[in-house]
Amino acid sequence: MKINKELTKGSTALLVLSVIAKEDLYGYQIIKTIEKQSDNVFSMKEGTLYPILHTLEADGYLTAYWVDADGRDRKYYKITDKGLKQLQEKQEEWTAFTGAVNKVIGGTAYAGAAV
Amino acid sequence: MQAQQFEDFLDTVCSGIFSDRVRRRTRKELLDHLTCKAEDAVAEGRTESDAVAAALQCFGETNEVRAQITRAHRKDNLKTLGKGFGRFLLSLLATAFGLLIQLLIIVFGFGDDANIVLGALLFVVLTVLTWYAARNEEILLPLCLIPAALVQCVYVFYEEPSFLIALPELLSGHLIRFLKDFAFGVIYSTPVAKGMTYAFILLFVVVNLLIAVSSFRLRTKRSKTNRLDKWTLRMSCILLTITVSASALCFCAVFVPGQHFLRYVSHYIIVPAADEAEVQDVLAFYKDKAKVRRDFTVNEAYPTEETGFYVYYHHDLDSAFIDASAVHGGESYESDDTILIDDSHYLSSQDLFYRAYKSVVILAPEKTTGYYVAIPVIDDWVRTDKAKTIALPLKKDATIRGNMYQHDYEIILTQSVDSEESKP
Repeated sequence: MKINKELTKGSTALLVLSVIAKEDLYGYQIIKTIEKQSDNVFSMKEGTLYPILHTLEADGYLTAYWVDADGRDRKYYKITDKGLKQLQEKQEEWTAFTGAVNKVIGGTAYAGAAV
Repeated sequence: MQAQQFEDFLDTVCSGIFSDRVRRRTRKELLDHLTCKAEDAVAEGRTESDAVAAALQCFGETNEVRAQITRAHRKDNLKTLGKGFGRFLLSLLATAFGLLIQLLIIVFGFGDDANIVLGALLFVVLTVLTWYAARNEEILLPLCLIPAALVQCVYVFYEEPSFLIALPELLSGHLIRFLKDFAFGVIYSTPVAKGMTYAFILLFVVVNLLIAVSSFRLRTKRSKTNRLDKWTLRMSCILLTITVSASALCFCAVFVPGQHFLRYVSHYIIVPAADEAEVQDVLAFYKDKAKVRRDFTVNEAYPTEETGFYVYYHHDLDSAFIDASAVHGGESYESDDTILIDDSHYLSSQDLFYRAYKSVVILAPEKTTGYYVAIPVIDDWVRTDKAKTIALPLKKDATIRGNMYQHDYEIILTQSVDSEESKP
């Protein structure tokens, strides 16, 4: 199912933090993981991912380290304590948001049926 | 897989990152991603060129990616610019401090040799400092070295002659002499050496400015914002350098004695001459001495039997003060504005040094014949091209009024002598 970009816009950082919180990942892996875990609903563009990763790193939510992978340097990201706190806040925010949206959607449907 | 398309793409998308280190790392990271993507595509059975195109396509529109990456590194960029500018300021401060020390050395006069040695040492120290300050990736080194070079300029302003005087002799070619002097630390002691030094510093500054401008590699081909940032920094550095340099020069102009562009006539050498041929001899003599200033030690008297007036000189132009005395039999007087050279009046070197920019009045005996040649001395440099001849048979009193700022003076006749009375 195609999802409107506008809907996912505010949640990209949350998705990235969530997958990295589970294990250290590098950029390509992050995209693959998000795709896999969302059953291919979320297909993140690389051009979107890397600016987000770099911003999160600059803000101190992620740290990075380099690993040699078949003769190539590969940059892995790891979530920091600050990132975990941020993730928790974002999750709460998201839960509140989706709960409210669900309520509204449900309410509208009920109201429509009553008429 | 190292496709050229990847390199071109990475060149563009990373061009907004100022820091070399961050840019290298970002390139490496993105290249790894592109390679993984392309390898997967090849594994799926696509051709290599298709795989490369697909990998690039995944990133989206190049300029948009570049803008987003630049935005993500905005903080880094500002930090990089700030660090570069900070280093630049540090080197300027270090240089200004060195300049101040040198000026103090000169003002308190620890001697020429000490100045040269200390100057050379300071130059080395400051160069190392500025190198250290600017050695990292954001190279502002050439600009930093300009103020360091200015430290050496102090000698030029301290010593004589002015560039305009030195230039003709410089152009006449005395390179070997200059190099020899420079090698032995006897810099700035001759017009040629000073002229060469001016030229050298001028060349140094111009070359450094050119290097400075070209050393800022313009990586931001498409982003007007980033280009503006870099140019703002460049212009700030250049303007700051010019401001500090100008301030240093003004400081030298005001506080360093004998600076060439505010030089004044410190005194006049007054030499009697019997006739016009002797006037020319006198001029030739001093002109010759001016060229070889270091060897210029004169201890001669010029008695003028013809005039009954004689001036005694003892000049050692290598010394800090000029010892000049004038002796004449007769009465003497002086006022606040004038120094009179007349009978039995002695002018000490101190008098001449501090007061000679006022007027000097020559009172010639009534029965004198012949000439006096007045040669202005600007600081310790004889200017025979500005010499004036006073014909005593026609005049009784003549006032030489020096203009301390324009290197010029005028001879004012205060009383004409009746030609009949002046004859013996």
